[in-house]
Amino acid sequence: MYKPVDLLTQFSGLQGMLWVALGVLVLLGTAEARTYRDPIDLPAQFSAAASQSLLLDIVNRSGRLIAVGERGHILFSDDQGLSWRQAEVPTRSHLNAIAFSDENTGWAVGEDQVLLQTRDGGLSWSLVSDGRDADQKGPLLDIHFNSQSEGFAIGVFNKLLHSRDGGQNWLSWEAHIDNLDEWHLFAIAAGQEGHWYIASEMGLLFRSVDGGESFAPIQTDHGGSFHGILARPGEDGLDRVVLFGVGGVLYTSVDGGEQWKRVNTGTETGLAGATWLADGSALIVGADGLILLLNSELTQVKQHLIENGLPLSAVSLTENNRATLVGLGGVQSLSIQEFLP
Amino acid sequence: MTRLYHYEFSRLTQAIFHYRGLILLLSVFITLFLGYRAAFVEPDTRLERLIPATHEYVLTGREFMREDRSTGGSFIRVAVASKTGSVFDYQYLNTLQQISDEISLLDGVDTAGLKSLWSPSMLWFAITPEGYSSGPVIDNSQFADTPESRAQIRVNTLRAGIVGSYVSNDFTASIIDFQVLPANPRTRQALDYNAFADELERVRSKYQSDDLQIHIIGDVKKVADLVDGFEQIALFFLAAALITLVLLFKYSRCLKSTLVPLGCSLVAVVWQLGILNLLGYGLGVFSVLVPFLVFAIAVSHGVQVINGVAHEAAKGRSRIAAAKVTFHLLHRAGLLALLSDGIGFATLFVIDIGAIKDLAMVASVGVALVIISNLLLLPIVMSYVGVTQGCIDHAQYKLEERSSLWEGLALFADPNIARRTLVVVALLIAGGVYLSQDLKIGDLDKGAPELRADSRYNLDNNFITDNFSVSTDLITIFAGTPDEACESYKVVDLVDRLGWALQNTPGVQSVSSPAVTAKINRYLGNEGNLRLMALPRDERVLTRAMSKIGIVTTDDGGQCNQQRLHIELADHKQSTLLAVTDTVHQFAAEHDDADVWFRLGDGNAAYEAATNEVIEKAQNQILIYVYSVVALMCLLMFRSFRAVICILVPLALTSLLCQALMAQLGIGIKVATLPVIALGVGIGVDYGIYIYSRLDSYLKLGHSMRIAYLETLKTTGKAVSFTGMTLAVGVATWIFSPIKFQADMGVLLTFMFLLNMIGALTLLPALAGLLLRQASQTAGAPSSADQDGDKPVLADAQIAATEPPATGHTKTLAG
Repeated sequence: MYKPVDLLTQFSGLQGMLWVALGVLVLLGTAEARTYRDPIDLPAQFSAAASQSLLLDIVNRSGRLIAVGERGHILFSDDQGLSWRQAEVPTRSHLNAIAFSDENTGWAVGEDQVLLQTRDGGLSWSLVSDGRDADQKGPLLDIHFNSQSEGFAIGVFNKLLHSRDGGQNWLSWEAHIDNLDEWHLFAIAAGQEGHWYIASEMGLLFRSVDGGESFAPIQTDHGGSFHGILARPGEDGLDRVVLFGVGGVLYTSVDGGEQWKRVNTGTETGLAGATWLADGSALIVGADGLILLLNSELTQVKQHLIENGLPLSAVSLTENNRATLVGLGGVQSLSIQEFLP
Repeated sequence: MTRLYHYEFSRLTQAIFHYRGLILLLSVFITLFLGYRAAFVEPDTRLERLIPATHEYVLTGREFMREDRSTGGSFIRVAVASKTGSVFDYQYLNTLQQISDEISLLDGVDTAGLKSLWSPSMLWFAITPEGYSSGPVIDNSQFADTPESRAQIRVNTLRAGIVGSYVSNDFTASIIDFQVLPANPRTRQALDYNAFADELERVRSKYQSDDLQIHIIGDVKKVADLVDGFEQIALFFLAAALITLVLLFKYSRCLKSTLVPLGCSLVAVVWQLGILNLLGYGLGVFSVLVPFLVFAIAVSHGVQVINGVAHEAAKGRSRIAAAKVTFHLLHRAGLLALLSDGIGFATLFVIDIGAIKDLAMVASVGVALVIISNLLLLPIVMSYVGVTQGCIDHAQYKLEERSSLWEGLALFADPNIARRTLVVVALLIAGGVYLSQDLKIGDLDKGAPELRADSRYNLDNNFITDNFSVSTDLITIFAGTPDEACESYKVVDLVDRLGWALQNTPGVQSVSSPAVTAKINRYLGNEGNLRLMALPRDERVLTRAMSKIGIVTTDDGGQCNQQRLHIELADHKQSTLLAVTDTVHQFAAEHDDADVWFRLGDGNAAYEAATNEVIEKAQNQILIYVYSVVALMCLLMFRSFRAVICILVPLALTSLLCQALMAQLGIGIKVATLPVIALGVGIGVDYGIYIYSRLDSYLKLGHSMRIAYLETLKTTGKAVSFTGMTLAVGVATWIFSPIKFQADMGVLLTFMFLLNMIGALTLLPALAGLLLRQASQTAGAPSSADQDGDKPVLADAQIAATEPPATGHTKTLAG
């Protein structure tokens, strides 16, 4: 038979302590709900508006388009940009760039020096590290791998991280770059084996020809910032490099960065992102909805303005001569048929 | 001639007719004085009277906006649309400049704040290697009719980021916007908004052509269009008066019986307006219709009086005796009916919206005045002028005429028919409940709900909202913080998160907030690098980013204890408003703490949401109060619950069916339509009270239900059906009003007047037939031979010989 006194005895000893502990946890739990949580620690929200939010970088990895942007948004499309789904991301930090080190392993970097990793081709992501305890809290702006193992992540105030083991470990690499003034590092690209190029401020770029062991500055005859860079090995064994940025400035080199030629773009609109086309020409996007087609000799551009005039950040090629653009208005698809010869 | 029944008049009646000359004289003087004052009544178009003044949103808005209310300017947008070309065309831009110059010269325009493609303040920004570069969208020195000039203006327009705001999304229209100042800053004279709107119309007609369309929106324009509509209300009043005149004459065939009640009813209206002016009130947006309602109620009672006087005169009474007897017979029922009306209207006071309170006040005063003008003054005037022989003959003829309509209606008192009637009523109730499920709260149409959907103003509004990404439905949300703590990362990050939650809320078109500003400024400050369009973590950088380039001005008088989010909505449907308020409330519940708290809100859409909340709550309150008051009054008068049921059930059925009608016609419950419920019940109860009291008096004489009801129909019923029809026809003219809410009210009031009348003539006797028969059977009514209605219909002479006494306490004396 049940006796009321049992209630009291229940609250003695181990059982009682467990009850009290549970109560405290519940109280903490409810208190937790009201506590402000940093965006770094909040999982990204799924929302219909995500594909129209600010998106900053896009890659095409074996047919899957993956774009990153504000509020921890990572979107992917398996139908060439017709429809987009949101990946599971553990943070709401502003994500600036994405790169893959192998088929399924990808990386994203952004504000607060967050570094995210995916092992399933971009469907779900985990937070590897963040810079909330760093002295310098500025964002990481770009990341690039030139092989399964070798990659760099760069950011403001000469932030430079290097991995030689496919992203298992990231080392501070500032000692390997000749940038005492700590100019921002805006974009990074890889040419032939062992060649790296980093776009910076004050008309500067940094080049490594020894697999990233040392980066040396190259001063162009320009004084402004370069927000983007493209590189690829040429058929003659010399890298083709395209450097562009603020004020519609565009420099090209056909000899691995020894000599630079300024290309007249006919615009003062800032240029932000680019991609190579199959024939060696390049598509460059920028503010005001500007798109430039740079010919394969890297000497001339053709201009196009997209209707809404919103600033663009990056571009990726998709099938059927279409390009997918990302920027302030989210993702949009564009036929590039008219650009092609 | 039949023997006349002799009444013992109360002391009140005796006194009134003893001093009738004095009362008449006094009334004439009062009418002259109040008529003079009535001429000074002004329309009160203050938009703030339409807002629930003590609602949380309004109080919060006032608290947070305290610094900014002083400007008080009103915003106007003028869209100039090219039908054939684009806004970059030379010809278009030239015309745009002329229009913009002309508007800037109008009295009242805040010239410095006027913006168009041509304003020097319309700047574009570009980021160049040297930093910012900037200039006016149209550079006067380079403006020419050349492709280069066109191309340059196009690029500048894109760089200025004004596509959607000042240039339409398809580049075929552009906007000139400006503030209209409430007073001339130099002369300090208040601006005449109507004159200003006329000036705008002049500019419009001057430049509008086949190639160029001009669209104008803004509160000043809206109110001016409303006032234009109000001017027609006088015409509607006149139309209603004329219709009443014609029908009254056709009814009475007597000029005296036509003009006197009409005149007395007008006296009530004149007194009402005069007293309004004496009390310092103007006629509010909704109250402007009340004089008509008062007139309608007055006519309704006036018809009962002249009906009575004609009948008494037909029996051979003298003028004064006929008037005296009529007063004696009607004053209790009339007083009850009018008090029910007045108190019913007064219940609208519980709704905390200025315009409805005004309406309640104006209507209650008006009804109180009808007691004097038509219950007291009208019989007195009739005691002097009397009725013509033609009128008496007509009344006599009508009374003796065997009308198939009356005899048909009388069948409703028959228990079998009554039971069938109740079955029909049950079906109607079921149908009404089913159909009124879709009843919505708030405005359901786009644009200015006060005006018709196809009015010029709303078409202009549609053009602008369709072609630009601007909205006229705005909400400001406040984030309160402790002093000097409005710029922490946490506060701005939460503001940003709420902004994103809102951007994901259906119906939200755009969100602007200090978080958006901070991001844009960081982007611009970093040479247009989109990757830096994020909230800076460093709070010094954040503070700088929020204040740069003068985009943000201090919202709070420099105390840094609040931030604001401004959102634009696609429309102001209740579903849209609820989605937004729910989002904000939920966000606040999850995130409010000692550092930051989120509150709604300011802006017209926030006030609309507040109004809807008040109305949703008040909707049932009003019904409960009105019916309680009416039930109590009927109970006091008739001392019978059966009477209350007989009178109230037809009214309740009408209220229910009216809601079903609103749901079906897509008329929402809003400030304009909520009062209709109270007004409809108030006016409908008159019919019920007059018919029930007459029926009751015949029944007390021992007549069978059917006979009693037939006689009721021939006397009171005739007056009720006449007034019901007359009022319905008069109100039905409102349906053609250019003002949407007047048209809505017209539809609903016509419906309620007619249905109340039909209910009083059919359902009331059916209920009485069932309820009172049982009562008389159980209570043992005065034994009369024709108790069960199987005796042949009484001859009129017999009825006349057995005069009904007044209901109530007058002692009956043998004649």
